[in-house]
Amino acid sequence: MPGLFTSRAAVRPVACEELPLDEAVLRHPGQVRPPRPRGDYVERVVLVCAPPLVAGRPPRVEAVLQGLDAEVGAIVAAAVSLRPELAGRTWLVEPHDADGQLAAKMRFAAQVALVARGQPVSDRAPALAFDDVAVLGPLPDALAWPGACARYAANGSAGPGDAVLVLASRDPRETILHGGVCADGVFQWVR
Amino acid sequence: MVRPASPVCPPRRWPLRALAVLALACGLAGCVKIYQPLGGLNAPRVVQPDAPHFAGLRIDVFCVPGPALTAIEAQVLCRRVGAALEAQGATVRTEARARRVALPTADSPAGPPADLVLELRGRVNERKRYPLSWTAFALTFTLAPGVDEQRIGHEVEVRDGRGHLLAVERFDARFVEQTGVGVWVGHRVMDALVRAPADRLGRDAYKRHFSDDYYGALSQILVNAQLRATALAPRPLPGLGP
Repeated sequence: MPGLFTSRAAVRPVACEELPLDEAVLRHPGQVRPPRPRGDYVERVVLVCAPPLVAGRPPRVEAVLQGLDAEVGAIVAAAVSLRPELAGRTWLVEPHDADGQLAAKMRFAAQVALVARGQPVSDRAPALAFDDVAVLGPLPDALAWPGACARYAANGSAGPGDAVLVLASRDPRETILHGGVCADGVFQWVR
Repeated sequence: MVRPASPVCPPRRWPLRALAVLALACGLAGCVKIYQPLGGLNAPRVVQPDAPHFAGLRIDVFCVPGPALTAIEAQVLCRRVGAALEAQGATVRTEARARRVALPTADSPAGPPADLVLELRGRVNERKRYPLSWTAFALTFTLAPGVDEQRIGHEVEVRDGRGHLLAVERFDARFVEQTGVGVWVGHRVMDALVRAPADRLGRDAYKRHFSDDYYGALSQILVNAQLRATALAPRPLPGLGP
């Protein structure tokens, strides 16, 4: 909490959660003293605060990383449930972000979520030729992603036994991820 | 032998002096209210709340009264949220009740359905007093602060005009009120000599900090929901025909 010698800026990145005593004892054994058998003399409430692991990230990157597991899990769930005909195909993950480290984390989170749902996953990444990138790069999202998906099928980097899960941010103002599925040259946003 | 008369002991004045000092200290004691975001309100944001993100967008805002949000508080909340969203270009309708489940149509009396529906519910509204701190407050003549705390929690749901859920978030905040001459003087000195204007904690700074976080977080959630709705605009799945 901000105080006499603690500034708001120092406290702001810290995420705090207030827990009931019983739940705090279960989640943090050894750190929270359990209630006495005959009861405590005072009412205790536990405030669990966690500072960020890495400081100084841009706000958008930090926001995406904070919700990465939940977002990617929801995207994978939507992809698997909306496209049940793709069961048994090998999933390739194609993250798209200007921050390379964030893209790598997105890829890993998606692969873990797919494996957790029993889907086969490959580290292979679908590829585009230089000319394809030059043509598709300037296009708007509504044309670029379907075009890229068609090229994946045409150049064989995503074959009939593959399905590509695309993760991307579509607007610099948002802090969420969108997910799309590319299979057999046809692209569809699922979340 | 005549014993000298025993001197008349002057009445003991220290209890009266102590009470006078205590009364003076209580009179001088100010209080400092500090806002601490707990969840949802301190999430990193990208949108600027003063930019016209929602130009041309119709947004319905429902503030649902309940145990943690009185009817009057719901009306005030709706009015303030509506004003904040209108400042960002949206056309806003506000109602202090739960939203109707039935989907509105273009011919319905309420008018065409909104592009986004925002529903705000109070989840937590608790006040706590810490008796030990108030005991120390009295024993130290207000040098040690007496502490009261208020926790509020809101639940935020955003849906599209057809009722599909686009975003859910929880906002939790803690307001700690410290009363005492020691803490009041300390914060005033720090505000005057050390802290930047945006970091000052005295007077009504907690209201400004809370409003910045609340409306900023709402704007971010609504921008995310708007973009998600755009991505999921209904169209036939490939291969399934018209």
